[in-house]
Amino acid sequence: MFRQRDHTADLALEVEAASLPELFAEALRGLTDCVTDVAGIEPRHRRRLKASAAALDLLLAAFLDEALYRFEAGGELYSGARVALRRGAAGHELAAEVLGERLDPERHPVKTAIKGVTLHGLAVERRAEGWRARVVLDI
Amino acid sequence: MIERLDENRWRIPRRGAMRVDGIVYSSAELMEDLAGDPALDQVANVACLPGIVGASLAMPDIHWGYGFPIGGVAAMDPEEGVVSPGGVGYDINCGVRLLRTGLDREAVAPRIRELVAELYRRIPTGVGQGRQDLRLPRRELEKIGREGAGWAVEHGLGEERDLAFLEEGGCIAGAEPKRVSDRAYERGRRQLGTLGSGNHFCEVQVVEELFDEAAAAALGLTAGQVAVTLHCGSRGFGHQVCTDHLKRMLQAADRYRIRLPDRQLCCAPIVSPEGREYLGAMAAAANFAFANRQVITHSVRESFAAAGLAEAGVEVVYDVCHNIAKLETLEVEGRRRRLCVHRKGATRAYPPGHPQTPAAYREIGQPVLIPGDMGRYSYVLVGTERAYRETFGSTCHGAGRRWSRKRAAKSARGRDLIAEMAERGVTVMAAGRRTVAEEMPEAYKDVADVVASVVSAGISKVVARLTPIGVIKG
Repeated sequence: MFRQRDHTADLALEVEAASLPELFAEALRGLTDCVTDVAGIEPRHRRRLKASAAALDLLLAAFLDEALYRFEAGGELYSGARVALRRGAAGHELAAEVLGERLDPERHPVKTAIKGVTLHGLAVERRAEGWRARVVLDI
Repeated sequence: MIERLDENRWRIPRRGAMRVDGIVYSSAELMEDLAGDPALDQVANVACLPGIVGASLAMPDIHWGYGFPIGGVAAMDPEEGVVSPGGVGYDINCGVRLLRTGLDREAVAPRIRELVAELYRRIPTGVGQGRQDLRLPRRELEKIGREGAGWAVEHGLGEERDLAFLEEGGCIAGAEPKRVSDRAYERGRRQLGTLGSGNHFCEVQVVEELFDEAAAAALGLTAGQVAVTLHCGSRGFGHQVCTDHLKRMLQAADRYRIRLPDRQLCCAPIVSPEGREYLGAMAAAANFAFANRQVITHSVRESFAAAGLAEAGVEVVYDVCHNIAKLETLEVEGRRRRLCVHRKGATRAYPPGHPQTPAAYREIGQPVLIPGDMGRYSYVLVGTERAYRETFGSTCHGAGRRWSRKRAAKSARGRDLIAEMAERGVTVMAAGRRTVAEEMPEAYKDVADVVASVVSAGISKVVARLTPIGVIKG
């Protein structure tokens, strides 16, 4: 589950999920939903994304950065992901299989453009039940 | 804790890890809106950065950002201080350019629909929109990073004389295109000459009121004259530079043992390899933004001609950066010092007589361009001696949001804002209806209050007010 929270000039995304891989997948859906309605993005293409970082929250930012770059460079948005996480030489490593399609303004009414995934208030936390993340996007 | 210093200034006294005070320039009314706002904590956080000189400043249009507050100014000692990508933001050299024309309202009003349509057709706006006519190979993008607006003029997209009227001549020295990543080049490939979305715009305006006839005359502004304001930055090219260097700076801050109150403030010493490399890449992105506004200027000229306004005589009045970090020579406590000035949602405001100000404006001071919302008005100010001495030659940059985008979108439900704007005499064309909703005039503070505040504080003088008659948005 994700929610978009008010932040005067920016946009904060709050995400909850039962497991860490689901948290990452849900955050990706939340990112897509800032640009256009995520329900309208069909799983037409399958791509592999990789990211690594020293900490879990930074890994989430790196993963979203990766997806944002794919959108900016190739126009693709993703509505689903299968995420695998592991500890490796670079700290936390992520390999994801993401599903989505190219944004088509005819079919996908655009909400907003995202300039970047900030580190301000960035958090990934374990809760009594599942996981929670918070990330502020510059829009 | 915040205490009133005088009519227009408020002090956040140094405490804890703060190295200097925080000083907020604001009227009592604007300050009231800020009570309990995280933006004030952000002013205090910036005051903790190594090498900060004088005070961590905020302009009256301050609002909650990420890391630095928007409306923040911080000057760092070039030897002891740090540079922070978060102090510049993702949209490196986001800025404003004002163009004047030789036409008056009566000449343009009957053709405003055609003019707005031509602007909309020629200047891509909105998410994912690139230029079909300008796809740039990496070699050219590197040249743009080195040369800025001059690159565009060299390629026939503008006039040589335009360059004299841009901050830094439209090219920041020290750009190092080799410090820009492949990804940034990929993102920039189709984006030169595009507006982007959000609060970026190209607006056709009328000079509504002159407050300083002599200064207006020097700027070539007369009452009733049609002008055009552009607000945009370095697009994906700059966003990627920020993203890339934030990651490096986070590691660097750790390595140089810099304690960060907020990770988005991550930074490195200006003299360190990480600091120098960021400044080199940032300058390249800033130059991309200058070239961007130059290419759009060319499209504006073409649009007037295509709309049957061939003798428009579009000339550049000035072009300012409002997201930037730059080495500048300034006066601090009566002493000239070289400083690295971060302006995050703040504008340079040099005084009369400054050698960096175009010769034609030297007696009046550097023009400062302050856009308001799309329904009300924008202002032209000039810098002052007091700004040079007190605020590291800086002033405000705009109205600042009053409502979040979500709240604005909610208030727009069931309304036709494009029709409402038409009733106010403003022809709007936009890629997305949602952008128009989020950017509705009520969502912004009244820029007149912000301007009154900087004028009252003596850090700017007001020259003219312009009102919109046509807008294109992302």
